[in-house]
Amino acid sequence: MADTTSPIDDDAFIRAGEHALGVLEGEELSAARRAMLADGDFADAVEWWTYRLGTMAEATSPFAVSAAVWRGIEARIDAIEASDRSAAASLADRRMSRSSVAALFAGAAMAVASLVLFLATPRVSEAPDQSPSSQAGPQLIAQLQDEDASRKLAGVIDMAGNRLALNVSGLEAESGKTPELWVIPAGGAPVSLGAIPGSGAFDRALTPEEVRLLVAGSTLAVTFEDDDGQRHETPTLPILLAGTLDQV
Amino acid sequence: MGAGRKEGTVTDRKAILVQSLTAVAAGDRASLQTVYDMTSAKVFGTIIRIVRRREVAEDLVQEVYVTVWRRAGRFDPAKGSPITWLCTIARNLALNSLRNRGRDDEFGDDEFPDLADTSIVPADDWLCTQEDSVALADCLETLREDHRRSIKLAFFEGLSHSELAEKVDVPLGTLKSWIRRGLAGLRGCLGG
Repeated sequence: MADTTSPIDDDAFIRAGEHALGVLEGEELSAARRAMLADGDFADAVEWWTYRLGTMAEATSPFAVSAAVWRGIEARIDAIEASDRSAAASLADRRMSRSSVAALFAGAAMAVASLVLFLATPRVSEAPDQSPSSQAGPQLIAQLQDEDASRKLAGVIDMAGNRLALNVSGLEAESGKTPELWVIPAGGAPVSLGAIPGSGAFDRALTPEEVRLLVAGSTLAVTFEDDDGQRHETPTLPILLAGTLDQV
Repeated sequence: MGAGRKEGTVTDRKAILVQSLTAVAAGDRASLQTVYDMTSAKVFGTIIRIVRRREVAEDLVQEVYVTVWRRAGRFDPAKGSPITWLCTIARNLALNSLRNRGRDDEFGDDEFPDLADTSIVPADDWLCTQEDSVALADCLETLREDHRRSIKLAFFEGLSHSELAEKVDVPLGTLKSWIRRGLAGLRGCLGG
């Protein structure tokens, strides 16, 4: 976690606080989102503020919840466990058919989309300028993170320069495993984009085949796979992150 | 109002929550109920103040604890208290709901305690007091009233700059200045 000795200037640090607080909108929000993609120090400052401001939760006034809520939670967990048992019974080695995985990715992308942190999405109705730089040319972006923001991936695809740039955090795998990036074309099967680092910045050229697959509306996802230097045919559950690519 | 177990000291309650989340990560449903019993009133308080409709808020409370069931292994006590983690999940879900559905306003402002009163929460309502929580509360008290109130409104009600300016009836530029000066004050205070 960053501290107040952050290398970014005072103005940017306060802007990070505004972003964490959720008050930014319009072009200011777009600029903060670009900074989240391009500037790790800014992202660290946002995380610092998110944690610090989050401690205000203790001051939340309690509000009585109806008894039906706990029963609903139990019912949903029962359903999850039943589903898990069913999936386990049908998966001999935790690998699934490509079509089954594609369906799962689509579901995961929808779930993640509904859970993306407020930091990553605007509340204003106008379409924001999400481009991560001022350079001309079409770009695709994806901002993926899990519910508690412990795993994050910000991706930018420069369609003119045919390059992929990622900022990743929290995806460190156990020994012998590596995070692997996947693209799932709408209605298609997952295709591996290869291993990515567990944290930090990553930038590489894209092949023409990859460029063909990376289009707006496709799903980008991450799983842990064996660290054997290979691109795998099918992903291994669980899906760690998933979300759609948006054109800006 | 104010469900949840309150026995024991704040330190005891935090320890129970941390232990319970560890057990939840191992699949212990009884421990999830312990976490729920201790925290659901605050989690619901976080959500209802933002989405303002009971039915929507209760659905989101379910979503929070299903998320906890699936993700308890991700909770790291070194990074924050259990209630901060839970309420961050709750706030994010509520703000996403707000974006997707808009605010229904079944509950008006008069249904909630004035934010000026929430700076001092009864000790019995604290679940995980810790250095950082106290530090932030103390630093908020050092801010000018309009700065402090603006930051609290943004946090507890999920309001943007323009929504805040409309709510407190000041020009947008003034409101932005209050927020920025308030955050600068917090940074200076928290950074020592």
